[in-house]
Amino acid sequence: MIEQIFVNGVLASLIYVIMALGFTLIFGIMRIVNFAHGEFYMIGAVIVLFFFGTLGWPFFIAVAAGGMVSAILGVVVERVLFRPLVGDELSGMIMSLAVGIILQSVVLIAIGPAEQSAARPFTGTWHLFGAVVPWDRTVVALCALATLAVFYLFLKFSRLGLAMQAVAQDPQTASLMGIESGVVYAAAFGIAGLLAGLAGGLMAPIYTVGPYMGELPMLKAFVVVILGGLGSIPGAVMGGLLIGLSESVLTTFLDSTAALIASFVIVLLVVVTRPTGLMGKSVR
Amino acid sequence: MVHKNILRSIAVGLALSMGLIAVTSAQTLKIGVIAPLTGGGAPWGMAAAEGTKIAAAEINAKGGLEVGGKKYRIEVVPYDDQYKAADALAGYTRLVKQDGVKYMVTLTALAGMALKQNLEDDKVVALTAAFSTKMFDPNTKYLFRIYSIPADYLPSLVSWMKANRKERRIYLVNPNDETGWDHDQVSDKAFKSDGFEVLGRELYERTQKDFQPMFTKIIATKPDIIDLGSAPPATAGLMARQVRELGYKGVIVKTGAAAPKEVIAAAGKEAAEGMIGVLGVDPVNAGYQRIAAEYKKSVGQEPNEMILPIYDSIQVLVRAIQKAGDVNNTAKVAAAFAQALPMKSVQGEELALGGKKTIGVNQQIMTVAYVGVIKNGESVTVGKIK
Repeated sequence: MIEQIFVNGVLASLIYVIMALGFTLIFGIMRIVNFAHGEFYMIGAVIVLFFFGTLGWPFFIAVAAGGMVSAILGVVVERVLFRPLVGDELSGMIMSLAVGIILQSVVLIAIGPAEQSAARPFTGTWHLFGAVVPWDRTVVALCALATLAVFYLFLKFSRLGLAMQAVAQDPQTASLMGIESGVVYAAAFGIAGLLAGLAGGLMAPIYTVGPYMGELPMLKAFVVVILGGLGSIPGAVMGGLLIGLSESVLTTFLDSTAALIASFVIVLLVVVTRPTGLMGKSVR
Repeated sequence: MVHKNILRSIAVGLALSMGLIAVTSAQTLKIGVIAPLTGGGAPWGMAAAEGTKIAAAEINAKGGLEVGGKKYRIEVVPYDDQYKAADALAGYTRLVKQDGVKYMVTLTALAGMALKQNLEDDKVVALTAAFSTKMFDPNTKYLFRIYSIPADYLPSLVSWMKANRKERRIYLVNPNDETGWDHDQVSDKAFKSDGFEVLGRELYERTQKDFQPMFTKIIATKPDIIDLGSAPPATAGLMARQVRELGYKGVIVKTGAAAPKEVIAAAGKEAAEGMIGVLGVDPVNAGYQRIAAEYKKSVGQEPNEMILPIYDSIQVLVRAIQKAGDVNNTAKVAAAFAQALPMKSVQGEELALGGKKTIGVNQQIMTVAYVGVIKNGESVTVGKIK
């Protein structure tokens, strides 16, 4: 049973990490808490439901399409709605809540309220040291790891990635150095949308798809990011693993309510003892 | 010639006007609906709103509801409570104070518990689908439940399982809310009373989708039946799939409302195979199919099974209004339920007034349920329980 608990926890953690990365990226660069992040996840899932489930496109093409649609949506909302609110955390939060509700309502009108099931591209299970590992979750885990690696390399070695880090550290100095902050903001929202859309697309066949499916992943991403530190990528990874594994242990030995309470107790303790999170930087 | 044409035109105009006056002089009887029309509860809520509208449209198409020598056109006024008590209260206040509604559907336990006392104080006749036994007490006069609840049919289902299956070790799983707690207690009592061994009882959060940690624990206790209780159908399907992936080979039963199509869609044919469920409807029944077709025409999707007891309960309500002979005297209408029932449901089964045994008052429309088993991606009716 211990092996199963560990596998369950790691598989859950990886999706939390991908969700948290985009969320923390936007905050790190624009100081905006994007509560619509869960809806970008949902849009990715809906795109896969339609293209893969209904039209029969190849699964990974549909997932890529879901990511791209969420990315484009991210760029559009950033330019039109969030750009004027950079640095204004409260207004950014309120705007993101409004965007989230609008997206939920649009999808509700489009597909109805009922949770829908997408066809499953991968079925069956394999065994890892006595633990049962479903193939569909294995694929998600591998994609999540690949995404994490690409994202890390992008941030560390690409011009845009380095520019994003510079703007996150000090936007004024970055601007003096010739970095166009508008491009960076749009890229941040686009990449965050892409990450959330990919996560949603990958998870679409594993769970059910509905207009409100983004609420819980959004909450998990929020918890992970608070734990790891707003704006910290390594913090998001650490927070994701901590939450995923603790939930798995507590749900198995106690129940899911205890796991939920524990996640927030952990967040509470971290906020009280280390307000910037386990690996976060102090607010400028 | 010209005079004849003018006279003819005047005659036609007068006849049309008389018709118009007759239609507009038919009074309006409003039936409110407070239900989750958006959010997770929307499949039930939409079924409640549309089921009421379908029943009303049929009555209006026949010229309206005749009560005490007058004709009434039925108007349905729905409000979305988003499965929240505060919104249910706001919807109720608008219906009663602004819209002048005296009859309504208050679908969920959240709405019902929030409005219980208001309904009695304002003498508003209401129909509820809430499972909770706490909805009723000896003083309840105006609230009626639209169908039999697990406390009514579970003993019968358990007897069916004892007679038709050899498995006896059961683990109960339910959502962590009012409906789930109630179902958990009723199931635990029903199974234990008939010789089943209840290995454990798990309550999960409604928003949860990852059940692997929970089922890892459950499978370790070696059950041969897992009861998914009052899980929403799509969630039940997810659970069935995830528990099968973990290697569970025993029976899966859903002792709350089954909605097999949604379960199969979420679980997949293989994981759903052999799943036992309680059906409120017989899917091949012509009466049900007629209502379902009307819903699909209006909404563009298949309805949740809730549509059937809602439709039947509206028929019971209007019959009670007719028996009372006065649309404004809701006390008389509430008392007239005892005269309106028994009557036939749209499926041809008998609806009766009951509830004294389980809720202490005869404020429930007793319905017949069916046992369905999923075979090869389809639900097959294998028994009847009440």
